[in-house]
Amino acid sequence: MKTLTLTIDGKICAGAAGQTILEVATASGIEIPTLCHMKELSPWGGCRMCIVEVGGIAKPVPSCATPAADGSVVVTKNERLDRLRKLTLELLFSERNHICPICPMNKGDCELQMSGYKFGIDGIRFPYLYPALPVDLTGKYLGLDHNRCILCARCIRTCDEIEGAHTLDLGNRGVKSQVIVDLNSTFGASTTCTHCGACVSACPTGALFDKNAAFHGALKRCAQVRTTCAECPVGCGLVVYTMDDRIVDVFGDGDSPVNRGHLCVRGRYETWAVKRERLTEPMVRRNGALAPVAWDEALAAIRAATRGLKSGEKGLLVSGRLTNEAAETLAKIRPSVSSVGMYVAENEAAMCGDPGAARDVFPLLQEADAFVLLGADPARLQGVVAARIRVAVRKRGAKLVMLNVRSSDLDAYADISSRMVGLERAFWKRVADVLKGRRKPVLIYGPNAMTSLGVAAMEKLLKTFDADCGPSVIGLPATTNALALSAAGVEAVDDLSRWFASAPLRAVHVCAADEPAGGARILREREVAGCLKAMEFVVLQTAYFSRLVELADVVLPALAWSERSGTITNFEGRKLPLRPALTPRGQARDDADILESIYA
Amino acid sequence: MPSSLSSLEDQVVRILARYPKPRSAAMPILHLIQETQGFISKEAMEWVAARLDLQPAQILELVTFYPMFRQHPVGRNHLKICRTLPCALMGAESLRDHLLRKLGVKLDETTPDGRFTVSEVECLACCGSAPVLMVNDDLHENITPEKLEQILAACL
Ligand code: SF4
Ligand code: SF4
Ligand code: SF4
Ligand code: FES
Ligand code: FES
Repeated sequence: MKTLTLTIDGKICAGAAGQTILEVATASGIEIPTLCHMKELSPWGGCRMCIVEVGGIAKPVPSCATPAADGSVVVTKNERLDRLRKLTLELLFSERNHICPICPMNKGDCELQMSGYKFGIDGIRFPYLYPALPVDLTGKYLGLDHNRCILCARCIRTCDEIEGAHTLDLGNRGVKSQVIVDLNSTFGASTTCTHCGACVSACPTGALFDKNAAFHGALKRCAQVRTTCAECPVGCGLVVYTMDDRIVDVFGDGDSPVNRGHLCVRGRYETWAVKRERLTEPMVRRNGALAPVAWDEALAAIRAATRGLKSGEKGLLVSGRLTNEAAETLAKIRPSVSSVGMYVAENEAAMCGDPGAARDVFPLLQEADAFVLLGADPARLQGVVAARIRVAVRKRGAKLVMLNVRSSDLDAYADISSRMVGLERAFWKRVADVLKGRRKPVLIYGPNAMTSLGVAAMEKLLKTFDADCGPSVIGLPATTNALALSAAGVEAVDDLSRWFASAPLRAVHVCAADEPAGGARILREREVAGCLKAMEFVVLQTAYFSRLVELADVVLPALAWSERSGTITNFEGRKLPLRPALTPRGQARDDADILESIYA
Repeated sequence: MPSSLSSLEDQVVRILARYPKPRSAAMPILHLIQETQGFISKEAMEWVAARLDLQPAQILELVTFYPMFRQHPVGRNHLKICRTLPCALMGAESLRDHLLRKLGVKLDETTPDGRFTVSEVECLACCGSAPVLMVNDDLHENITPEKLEQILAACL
């Protein structure tokens, strides 16, 4: 790579060809004010806060959008630049309705307000325009107040370049310019928005905000805990913002090698912005009704009810969200419960077992020029992977072929999308045509590739890629830690009624951990409620209330995702940490501790 | 796909063939739609987006940026008054108000008989003979209230 040398504010700075002046300055520790710039996004040059003087050029240039040239002499601060920057800020403040005390980003979270302080803005020399603009509060989790928008397009570029949705754009012109959603739609009615919230994280002002975080505390004053999203096997890095032992907001961790700050709606919002009824005390069924008791009493009730049972008559059904450390506990308690199963998604058991060698998947997705999805629906389950695919298709012209059992939000972006049934020769010919000449194809398969139809389709597919350029094959399971837990010896079960029938069970302990909806998804398999009712004794360990509670004789409160610690292993084989952001609610206890105190 | 749009398919294919990238064809296709349909509907924007592998918002961006694109039908005679500085200096604003008063409509409204719609447009590149007015595709220069009367009378 060609290197460059610049003199910036009298300091000799080294850079590489292709870098902007701002990038070279930042790398050399020289700070230039910015507003519309984000290092993750392509340059925009819209706000003019980052202007610098370059020797030989009369007008100041925007450093974020100007390539660094070898030998140039750059000045980033002087009276003229500061005067112009102040002017820019005054124009921004005068254009809309920046009444800070009633803005959710007041008190340090707004880049515009902080820039105002930094440049000593104490009055505006222009008339305030105060247009009366609408506020869109129809989004499930986010709101957009056009009155606070500075038209920096950070949201638009993020939605386009990172989430790949391009829901947002800039409508109208001049003073009437405004952020638009689809065809003048709203977030609530949008057909393209995935509700990932990336636009909110990108917004420098209070224009875009998280509805559940607004006025719940300034992020700047919150404690931050870096942890891992436990909703799917991607394992995105999270930063949880807390104040007074409650969650204020959750953002992606920019330092995570997995998601680099981006999240999907599940990790960004569903874990905290949706009301979930929390279980906080142990309960024992007495005369038909559950009554709160102390832990000792609950554990004694379990021991009393199971004392006469042989180990083969006791079953333990665990969630695939348990940690790697909990797997060690499961191995330890094996002698006293012989039937241990981990319930996973439909058809997922066959994916478990051999996790294969660890590898970096995201660079592959970043470079792929064709994607084939077989029995996997990342748009519904692993949104951060879906975002990479959308960006590749929309921005880089990558091909997308989908073979699934049901429709997916990614269908709209696919060259070919089909159900797995009744595929004729003409279909495979079409697939071959689409994949022809693709040099870096990726084949992503999910649980539904494990059916006989899926296996047949996989065989066909592998013959369809160009012979000299086989695909990188990536398994994308649905259950958070299923691969690592099964590798640690926990049997994966996707046919629960068969599991119930496979041993002479008389008592069962369902450890749902912090599954959303309290683990009630196991009741989707029609016979499972009957199987549970047929048990003499049922223990339920869960963080949240659900219909399962009615079927239990003893209910034990487990920790929620924000209180857990330990590690989980993602689909790439990366071991990732869970760190508690909150103290346990009520009497809730760690899953492995609970299991150990009952069975060890 | 609405049938009126699908009848444009042949022309769209010809336009697409002129550009290395489909998205570059957005402007001529939008012009084609406005010429044949009279205006650009939401449905049409969705159709263009899908046809060019773009997202709907990317089409609305163009349609709202350029004042010559319209999202509503207009009267038989679309009166387009230049609102840019040279014409404004030569009295375009009072001419506009006169016209609106005379026809009893607001900007971008159509007279009840469907005869006239008045809109403002950016510079028509005829500043030397300001103020100027376009009636559909015909340019009229050096407009005075008297000239306006004649022009209106000649409109069907
Ligand atoms: S929530 Fe995500 S998809 Fe929706 S507009 Fe914002 S960035 Fe785009
Ligand atoms: S909503 Fe926020 S991010 Fe988007 S353009 Fe306005 S100020 Fe910038
Ligand atoms: S992709 Fe998976 S790990 Fe990442 S935020 Fe979404 S649910 Fe969480
Ligand atoms: S930060 Fe460079 S122009 Fe906005
Ligand atoms: S300003 Fe009216 S034609 Fe140029």
